Amino acid sequence: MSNVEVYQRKLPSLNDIYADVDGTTKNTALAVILNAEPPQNWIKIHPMTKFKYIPIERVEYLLTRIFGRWKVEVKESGILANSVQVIIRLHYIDPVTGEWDWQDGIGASPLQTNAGAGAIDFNQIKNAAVQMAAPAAESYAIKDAAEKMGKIFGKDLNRKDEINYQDLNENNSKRFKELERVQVMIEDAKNVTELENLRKYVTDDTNNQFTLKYKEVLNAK
Amino acid sequence: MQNEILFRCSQLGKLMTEPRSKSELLSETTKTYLTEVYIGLKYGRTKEITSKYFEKGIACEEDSITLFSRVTKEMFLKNEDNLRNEWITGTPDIFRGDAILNAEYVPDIKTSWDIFTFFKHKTGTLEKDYYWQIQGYLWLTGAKRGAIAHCLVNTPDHLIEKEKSNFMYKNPEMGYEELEILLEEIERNYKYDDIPIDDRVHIFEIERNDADIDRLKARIEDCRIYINETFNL
Repeated sequence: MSNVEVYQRKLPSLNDIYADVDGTTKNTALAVILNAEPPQNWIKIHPMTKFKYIPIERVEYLLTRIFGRWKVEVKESGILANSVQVIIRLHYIDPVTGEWDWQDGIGASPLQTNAGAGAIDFNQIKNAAVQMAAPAAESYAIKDAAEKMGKIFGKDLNRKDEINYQDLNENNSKRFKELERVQVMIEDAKNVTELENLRKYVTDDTNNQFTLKYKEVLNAK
Repeated sequence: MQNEILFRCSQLGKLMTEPRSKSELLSETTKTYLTEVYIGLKYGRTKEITSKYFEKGIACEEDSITLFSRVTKEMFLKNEDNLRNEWITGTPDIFRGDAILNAEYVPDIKTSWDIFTFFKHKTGTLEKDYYWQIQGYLWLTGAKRGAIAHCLVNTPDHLIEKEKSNFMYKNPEMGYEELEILLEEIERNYKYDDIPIDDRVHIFEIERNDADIDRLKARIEDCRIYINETFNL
């Protein structure tokens, strides 16, 4: 009998995942895990749109816990309208077969323009606009890919029967203005207190800008 | 039916204007407004109130909230919840607090048409209509403080173009070069990015006044009786 090594990653149980602890059992099926409802304490409500979402750090944690090894391949990136668009391929080791598999995802994040400038006024784009928008777009793309794998990644958080599609355009415009407001207020912030007051409004769109500004303020001290 | 009439906070000032003669219970302004209310209720027709000032107010509401947030260094989100009690109804623009019914502070945002109307507000006193509007919001939310914040933000391009068109229409014989200079001036008159943001917000702080809220209640009762008696509701 030849010495064949079989890769068989043990799957964690739902309780293990919910509780964020190590430890697995043999009998938990991947499909059950992927299609389990995410626990309420993982779900955040977007401060502006009021839509539910799972933050990127939680998605990355889940990918590591469920698949062990995963990696992101950026397939394409570019400017689409006033946003940076990123298309990624999320590679992961299927814990049942032990083979690499993948799922594609797409994400976009708007480029920040100077206060008062139009959203597509490219002469008014801020210096660090791409630096801020590109990682956010990549995060959205990873989440998009992960969501396709199951409910636990937030697939069904905002079912269509919960979304008023009639108001979607209006909401998008409102959301864009509110996002712009958060961005400009982060930009305006002069100290840690002012930044901390904005923390609860920070989402994946503005996380990078917030972090950069935080470092800037701390370094200026 | 009379108990179903709820008055909008933005219109409370019309109910609170005092009659010229002490023998009158309600002023002519109030009676005119109550007739409009009745027409709306009975026939579903409302007096059209649209103007360039109104249009800018709607179009720039979010920009004005952003300006107000930047100047006060406090993030505000547009409130969408309509509130009502037995007498009045209203939708405050923004609030401070964890929920609208637990608000501490309820400012209302007013977008000025241009820098001249902005300064008229800035150098003037608080308009009575606005005072009553805020008392209405404080009544509905339970908040102790409110404000009227006049904000000066850029006018949307389509409204500036309308101003330019009107100007050209009124001055058909003006020479091209002169016209070009004046059109540029019109453009400049409606954009304010060069003015510091602190100079573009003027806030009238307003304290809750329970005695005035009681006066509102009493006046609304009188208004309901007037509508009931005049129009046989």
